[in-house]
Amino acid sequence: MSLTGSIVRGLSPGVADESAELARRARDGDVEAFERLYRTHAPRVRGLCLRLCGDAQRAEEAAQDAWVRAWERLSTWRGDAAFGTWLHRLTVNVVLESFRAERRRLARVGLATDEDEPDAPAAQREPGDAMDLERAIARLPRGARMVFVLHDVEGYRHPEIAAMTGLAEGTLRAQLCRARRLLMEMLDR
Amino acid sequence: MTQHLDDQLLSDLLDDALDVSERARADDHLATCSECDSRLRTMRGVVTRAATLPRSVDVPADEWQRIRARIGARQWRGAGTMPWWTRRSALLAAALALVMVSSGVTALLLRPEPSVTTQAPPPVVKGVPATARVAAIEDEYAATARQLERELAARKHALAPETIAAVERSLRTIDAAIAEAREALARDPGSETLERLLVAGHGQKIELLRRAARLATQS
Repeated sequence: MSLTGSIVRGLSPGVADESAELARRARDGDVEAFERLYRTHAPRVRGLCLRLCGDAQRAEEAAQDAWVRAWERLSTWRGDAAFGTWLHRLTVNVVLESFRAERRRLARVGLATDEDEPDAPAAQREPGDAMDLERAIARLPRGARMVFVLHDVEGYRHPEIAAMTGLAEGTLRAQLCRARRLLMEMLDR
Repeated sequence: MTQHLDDQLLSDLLDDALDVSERARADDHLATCSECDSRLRTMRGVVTRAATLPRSVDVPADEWQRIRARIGARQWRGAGTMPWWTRRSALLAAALALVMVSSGVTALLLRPEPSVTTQAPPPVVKGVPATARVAAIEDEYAATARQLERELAARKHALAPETIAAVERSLRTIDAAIAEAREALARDPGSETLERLLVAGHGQKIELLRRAARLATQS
């Protein structure tokens, strides 16, 4: 699955009420209601996972994990927030947890993730090799990509991202700047 | 001409994260420096484009079926009422399968390797219900297995075809054994023996994948 070729649609504004009702039914064990929630929100969840992970296979795993987690945690959705907002936050947490778990596993065998890598993606490319924004985002180092997607694509504010990721405000701003700088380089060639 | 504004300051400027004096200094500089002004415009262009990216993407047609299966498996795990001994033959097959995989090429891959630290099983969390604990352990093993499978897939070309075939055959056998153990445990959720059998199956799988990946690296 390409990062760029399959983007199709956003959510219509009227889904919130229907989703709330479906979520209440799903919370009581109604799998059909949960499936309808899935049909409504899956493209959005998938898009978020794809951009955060930067990799179709990982995104697929993360999206499935997020839906299974949503089913298990539906009892914690109290209806005071839109179901979509709750699901979105849960999905971000699932992806971040998978990053942390991967980092732990790699640390056990003495390897590191790309989070601490130098800013190589742009430097490795040939001049004139322009790319679209989606592909460029996917090439960002993980830490920078995560903050950029949450802030500039998804619209979360700094304190919300800090709360989700555990990053200090200064680190978060530095990662955001790093992502923007790398993207400017990649898109400018 | 004062020193150019750095990217961090431009980025903070876009996010309205500068204090009043920093903002004034930046504005003064931008009013007279076309280079910094141009860079700010470029950065703002990236941010604007990012904000307008579509949020949704196509979903694989069979994704729901896979999610549904996982949800169903979890529901079923906690709902077991049938005594586990009714599945004794399957359980024996599962145990036997775990023994059988220690043959041929797989035996070579799974033989004791004293100099290597084997992967410790995930920690058992006290006070957590057995079904939830087993689910968490299985999730952890599954994530590790997926990662090792990716590593092995990337280096598979370095292995002989017969080795690949043997590894794949053994993985299928282990997966079947894991499934049998899981099924038995769902029917008898409190059984420590079954839990150990299930964890042992996952452990065998991880060990096989890990050594196959290392063999591929060394080939």
